[in-house]
Amino acid sequence: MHALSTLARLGIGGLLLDPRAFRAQRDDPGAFQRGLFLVALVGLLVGLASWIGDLGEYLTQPDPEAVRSTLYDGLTAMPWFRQVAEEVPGFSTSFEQAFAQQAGLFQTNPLLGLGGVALAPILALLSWLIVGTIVHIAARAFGGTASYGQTLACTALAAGANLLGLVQVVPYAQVAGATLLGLIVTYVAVREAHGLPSWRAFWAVTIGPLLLTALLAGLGCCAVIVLVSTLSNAQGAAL
Amino acid sequence: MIELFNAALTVNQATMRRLRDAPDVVLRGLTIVLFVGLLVGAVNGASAAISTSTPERTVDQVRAVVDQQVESLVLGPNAEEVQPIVRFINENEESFYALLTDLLSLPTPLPRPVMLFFQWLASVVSTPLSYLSGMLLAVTVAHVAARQLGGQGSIQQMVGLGALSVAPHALDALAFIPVLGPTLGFIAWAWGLVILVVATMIVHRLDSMRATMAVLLYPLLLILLGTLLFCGLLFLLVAAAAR
Repeated sequence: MHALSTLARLGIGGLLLDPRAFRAQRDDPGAFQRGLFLVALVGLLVGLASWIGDLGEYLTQPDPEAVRSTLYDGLTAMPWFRQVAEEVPGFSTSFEQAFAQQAGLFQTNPLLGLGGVALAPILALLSWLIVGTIVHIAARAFGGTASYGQTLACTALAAGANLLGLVQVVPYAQVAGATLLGLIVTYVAVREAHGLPSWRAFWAVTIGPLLLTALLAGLGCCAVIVLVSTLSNAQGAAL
Repeated sequence: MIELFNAALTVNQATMRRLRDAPDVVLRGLTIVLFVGLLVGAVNGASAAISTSTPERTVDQVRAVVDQQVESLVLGPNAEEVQPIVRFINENEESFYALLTDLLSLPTPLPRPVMLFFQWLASVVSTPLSYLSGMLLAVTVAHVAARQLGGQGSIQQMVGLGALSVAPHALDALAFIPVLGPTLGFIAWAWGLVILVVATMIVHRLDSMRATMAVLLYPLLLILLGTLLFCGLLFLLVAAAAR
């Protein structure tokens, strides 16, 4: 019980960017283990909340098969469908086949979501380890002094930002702001753990996401160039 | 909390300075976001629940939006070109509304009022997070710019005081009133911007000109960059099409 209240205090300390929580994590030799439990526990709770919310949504939605047949009947009864079916031979058959292929889209099973509950803490731990490692390498490169364990112990408090995800226990609720808050918490964690000046801590935290964004932007530009050249080639061939 | 809310609305600098130096600055700032978010979420959620309480009412809402769009198409400068689209909509809309009514009338395991209650509750709990997200983005960008301009405040102080900029958004609770709602929304946004500038000024001990620059610099740069990128892409596509 005491351990749980300590974890709750740490999670809320992280959520509220309380420097004392980060310093306590940095200076405690058992902090890594506590951080690990915190990340896994928050991940599990958020996964469970999300599943309960999904279950609530499932119970307030009509039967998927009824949705499918109503949609089919309604679409085929529309004037546009009759017009196209008269003008294009075989349209009705193709439409029916295409509709049958999409049948899986209407099928939902709330029990399948239970797998997500088990997966949530694992994913939370993985992302904590990956982000923590990248941030630690960057912070050391910028002159940080903390050990790997101290960095991870402090960045574990970013799990506090994920506590916002608990609102998903309410069906139809949407989470927002958790990623940005997580980044801010990680910035405070790096600054407190490594004793870095603000700008260095800022770059240590943002360099990873910036590189990733630059990579995605580069890939996006390449895709646009390929698309434009394909379009112009196709036009040239048509002429 | 009400005292802080009033201080935010009146841009009371003395209270904001006291808040800046308080150890629980983030908690107190986020309390304002929570309060405004819950209020707006509850009112807007109730308004949405009333307007979608029956399948017929939901369909009427959709019908009103479609009618408005068709009217703008018919009265627009390309009225001749869009005639086929308008004809298509006119021919199919009644059967589309019938389909929508059928879909919304399908039986569910729990009765429809339960779904409406869930959706209202979702609006109540999601709205504070939506405000938090927007506020954090604005505050982070302003904080980075303010530090570049010589500011000395911490991110905790910036989040705590920046959260006060959400206070005028209590006006968003009146968003359901036609015409007046959007106007009040714009007033709330401008009012929040002023509070954010004052918060940046107080947290970073900057003069008003630098604080304004800190708040507006990156959003303006982003808009400029976005416009340039859009123009460049448009130019590339037009050039490709012209070849």
